[in-house]
Amino acid sequence: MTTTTFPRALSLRVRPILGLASAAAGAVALYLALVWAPPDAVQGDVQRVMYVHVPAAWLAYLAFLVVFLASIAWLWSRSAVADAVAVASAEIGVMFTGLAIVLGSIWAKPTWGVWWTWEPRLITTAIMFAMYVGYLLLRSLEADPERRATRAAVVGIVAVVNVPIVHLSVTWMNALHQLPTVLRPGPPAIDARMLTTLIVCVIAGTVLYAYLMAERVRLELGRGTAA
Amino acid sequence: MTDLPFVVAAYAITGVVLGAYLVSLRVRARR
Repeated sequence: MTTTTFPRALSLRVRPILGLASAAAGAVALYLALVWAPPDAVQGDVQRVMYVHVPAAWLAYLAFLVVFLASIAWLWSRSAVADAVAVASAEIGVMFTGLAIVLGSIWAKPTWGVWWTWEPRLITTAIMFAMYVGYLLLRSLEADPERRATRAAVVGIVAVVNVPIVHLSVTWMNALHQLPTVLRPGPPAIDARMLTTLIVCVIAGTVLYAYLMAERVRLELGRGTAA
Repeated sequence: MTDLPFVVAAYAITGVVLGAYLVSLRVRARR
């Protein structure tokens, strides 16, 4: 048995606030990224791609971690909300992974000289992307909501292993991709104004993720197909 | 600055993708 316990009244109030907060944070982040932050000493202005590339990658990690937690919650409670959160986060995570790959490619061309190269971070990210596209395809194969949610939950739990693999891949092998700059042992290896800008961009991205999740979860529950 | 088109492309693609996703949410909500 499953029950829908999504707090709709709360959602109605929270979504517009999240939407406005997301737009405001996005505007501030854009100003910092394109105007306030200094150009890189070596790369010049093209380094500004970092302020969209890194948040996209961070949001992919966050989204797939949420898929993992929601998948456990589904198996534990059989709550329709948990399954809706899992599918919503997987879809948004796939979008941000694809975006991180494309933005990384755009940054790679002027700095590495190539759009794509078979190096560890890029390969592991491509595998992560393919696995979560597979997660979404798997969901479309099963009509029964309970079985679909359970099968998806198993994949959602297993596939999260991609997240630490992608993040640590640059430290395991000789790689072209740079090592972690912020999430690493010791202090961040980055100029203070660049770090501030990056943090604001990541926060703005996270608020946007929360807004997209609120919209997507509502859509999923509104379909009435979730068990 | 020869690298400027890359920056413009990166931000434009981000905007278009996010905008398209928001539109897709709206369209799907109406169905």
